[in-house]
Amino acid sequence: MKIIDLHTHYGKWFFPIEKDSINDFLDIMKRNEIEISVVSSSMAIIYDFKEGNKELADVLMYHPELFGYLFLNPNYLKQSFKEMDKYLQNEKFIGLGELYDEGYIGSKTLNGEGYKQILKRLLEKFSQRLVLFHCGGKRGIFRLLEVAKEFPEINFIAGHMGNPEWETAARTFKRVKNVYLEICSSFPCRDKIETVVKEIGAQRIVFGSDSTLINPAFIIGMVVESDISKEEKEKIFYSNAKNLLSERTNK
Amino acid sequence: MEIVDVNTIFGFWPRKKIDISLKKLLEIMKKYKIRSCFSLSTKGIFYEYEEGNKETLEVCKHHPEIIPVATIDFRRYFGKKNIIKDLINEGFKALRLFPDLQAWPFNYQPFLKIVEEMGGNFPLMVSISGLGKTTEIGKITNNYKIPLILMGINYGYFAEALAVMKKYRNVYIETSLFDTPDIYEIFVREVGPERIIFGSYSPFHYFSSSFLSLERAEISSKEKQLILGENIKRFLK
Repeated sequence: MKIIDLHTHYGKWFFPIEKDSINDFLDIMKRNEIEISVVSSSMAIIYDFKEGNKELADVLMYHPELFGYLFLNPNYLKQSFKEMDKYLQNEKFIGLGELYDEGYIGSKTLNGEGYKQILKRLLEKFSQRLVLFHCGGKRGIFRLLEVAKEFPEINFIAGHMGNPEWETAARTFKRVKNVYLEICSSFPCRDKIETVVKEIGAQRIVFGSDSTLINPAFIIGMVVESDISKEEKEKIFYSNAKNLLSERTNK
Repeated sequence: MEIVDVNTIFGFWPRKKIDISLKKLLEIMKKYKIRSCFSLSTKGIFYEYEEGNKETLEVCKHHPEIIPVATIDFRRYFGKKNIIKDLINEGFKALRLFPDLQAWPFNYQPFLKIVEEMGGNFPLMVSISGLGKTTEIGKITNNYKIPLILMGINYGYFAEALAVMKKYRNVYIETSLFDTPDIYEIFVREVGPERIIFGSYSPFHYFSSSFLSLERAEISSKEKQLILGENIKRFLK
């Protein structure tokens, strides 16, 4: 079955992972039969967003199977605007991500003024309409809910689908049509996929691995083993993401 | 390739709606051709360990493909003597502890008392949560030459597990949360394939997450075979 991975990273992590070069990244894709990956820079997320975005932009241009998310840091709003101007004319950057909520960016949250200004500017000046958000727990879910309702023109991907509150995420976003659930997690709890498919429908769930932090095989196993139909698996692995990417191309 | 799964459970999971019934475990074993698994009743984790252990033995009597693992909840432990000897005589093949779910520390006299009774070929399986815990338990078990299997180690704890395994030869690692893209390659190179033991945490976790990660790892077939079943057999002699 073909796969599009909507949640990946390029760069190093502060964990013992050696496969962090672009060739390693492509090899991981090949080994797991992943056709397209959408990537954000780990350096941008955990350290210097400008340096990380540049490093990512430099590799994206050479690889047709890769697209990028631009990472922005609301602690540096003016510089974030400059990054948008610098990179969002580039067709290879198809959205923003993986936007964080607290953690790596301190106390800033998705529903704070900084990110809201960034999203307003995205709508005013650029054609990208896709945002991957690191959605952890109930706090992440409810912050994304507020923002998704305020910006209905943007498609949001709830990265990790609110882990460990995936049932709450599926219930919360059931009627919020511009939010998609993305499944990756270090904890592949049984029935997780079946539960969210039943609640929100397979057409609103997309595959993401968090590679190169997480092995795509680890996440693929969750879908492969889940007790859902072949058609539903195909939607999760491929066609939902394909549609999201096509929307971008058609604009 | 023969599969022995060192990390399974059965019973009821009160903290989320997840089917971890014995029926589900047996279904998974059949579907993925798992020859045998180490397992225990979750009654012993969440409710009362002596009742849980009885339930485990009862199930294993009817299903010889399930190898009985005992547990002790040290929040309830009364200081009974020769508890390890009794567990071995009853037929248990390992002791599994859940400080992550029961919130007791390793520097805790009820636990340290039991450690003094252990040794030989009876492995101790411990779920790890928190940096520094692997270092602590590695040091304690090494003092008594207890074979220790670290359970549920994921990317946040790999660096510590590698360092502890290099320092202490009595330490092994289970793979249910081997979640980074090259972690099998790194552990095989750094500590050798003989100290890596396959586990899935089924049915609580999807079996295929850990299995596919091992299947697609860039290590030899011989190394995969050791990890999947051969290594754990030394504890069954």
